Amino acid sequence: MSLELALILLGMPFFLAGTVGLLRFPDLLSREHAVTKADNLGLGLVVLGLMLGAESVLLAVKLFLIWIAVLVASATVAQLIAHTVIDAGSETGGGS
Amino acid sequence: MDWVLEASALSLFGPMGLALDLLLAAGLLWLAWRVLYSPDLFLSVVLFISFGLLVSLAYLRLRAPDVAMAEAAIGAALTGTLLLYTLRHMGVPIEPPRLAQHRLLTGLALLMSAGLGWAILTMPGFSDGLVVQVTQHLPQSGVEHPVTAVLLNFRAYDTMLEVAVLLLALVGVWAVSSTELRLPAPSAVLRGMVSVLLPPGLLVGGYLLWVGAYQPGGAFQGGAVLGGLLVLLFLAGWRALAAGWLLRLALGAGLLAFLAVGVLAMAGGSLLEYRLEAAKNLILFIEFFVALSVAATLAMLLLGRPGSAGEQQP
Amino acid sequence: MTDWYLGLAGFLLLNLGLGLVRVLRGPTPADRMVAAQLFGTTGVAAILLLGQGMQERALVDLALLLSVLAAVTGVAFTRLYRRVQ
Repeated sequence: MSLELALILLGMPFFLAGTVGLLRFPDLLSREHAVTKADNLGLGLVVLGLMLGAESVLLAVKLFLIWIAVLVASATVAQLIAHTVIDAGSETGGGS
Repeated sequence: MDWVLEASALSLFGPMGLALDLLLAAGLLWLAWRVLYSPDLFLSVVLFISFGLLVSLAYLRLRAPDVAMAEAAIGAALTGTLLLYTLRHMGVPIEPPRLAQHRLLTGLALLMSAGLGWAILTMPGFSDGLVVQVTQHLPQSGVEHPVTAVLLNFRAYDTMLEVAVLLLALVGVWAVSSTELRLPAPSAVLRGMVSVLLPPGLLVGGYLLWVGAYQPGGAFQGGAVLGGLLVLLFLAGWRALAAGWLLRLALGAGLLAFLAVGVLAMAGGSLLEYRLEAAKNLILFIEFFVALSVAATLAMLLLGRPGSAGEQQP
Repeated sequence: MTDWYLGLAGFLLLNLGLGLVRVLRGPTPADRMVAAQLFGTTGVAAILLLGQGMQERALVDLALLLSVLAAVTGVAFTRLYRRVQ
């Protein structure tokens, strides 16, 4: 089993954890934690694995850029969504 | 299980690929149903974006990465954003439709789909289409990627008309609804994100435009990314860009570049007949301005006609 | 080997399908937005693995394009959503 594949496989449970958290956590803000943290870590591991197997520097750079862009986007949008909810006050996001 | 083997061969990647394709197809059907018949329009929009992404995946499985890119960028993300914008302006909640009301239409649609499916499945295997001709003439086109060669050289006339249609579409949208986008001040978090994402985003857009000559990409894909970045700027409050003449110039630049090259080419041949040595540079020239036009058009669809904020709604 | 990647891509797509459950359930629009965030992460990962499995380098470019546009769409959600009075 190559290191590349091992890293990618290592990332899979994080994606699953994120999805499970999204479905099972009791309120909006905790669901956000699940999606933002777990999934991004999973993506990071997948990107790392693919980078190790990349045949050119350009490919590795592209993969790294993808990860950074997704990281920045996730972090920012999570903040924005949370603020929208917190500032509104009434929508605590609780429920099924 | 003979049909499984046959279907696996058709799906080009064996049983695993077949399973994936079936999953995609089922997902597409189900999502399409839910998009139309959801009780909440916001939910419909979110599902619509998901649908667009799934369609993009389907194009990938059909080995059409150029279309997949355009679909993901324009069909899913930017159209979804446009729908969100539209939703914002609809004050009154709408009574959701019910499947039972549309029995006849649903029946007709299913019948047509079944007919199409049967027609496709009974087609005589794979044909080469125009692959042979395109491959033969590829060295003379000025680029190495066959899709770009077709779009910007062999069928450049069609593409030029498409660019004109884009411009007309924008004018049409502006004529019907001229509401200008007005948003509250952006938070520091948003401003920070824009400043971090903008430079690499521009790089990505430029890269996709450039790489279209060699592999999947091109003017529409690069333009869609640039358009997305412009939309991001507008959403973050940078509206001053829209009022200026620069963006309006960008709107028409693609068509103008096409016409200019096309008409000037008539000096040596017919409309849009590039000279062999100049083909590569001419194509890049046209693609650059088309990308700018696509970007400006997509963004301006969202922004509304500048200066119209005070006008009455039609 | 390619079967591994295709299978993993399929696994991630199933995750996305599960995420859609949250989109459908809600209950608030913010919940749906958070679930939509999945496309930016899981979707990109799925496309990268699909590209590896199909030996198609262009998919990395698609993932690149998608990551930038997912950022834009995410921001659009928060900035353009307005609760119907």
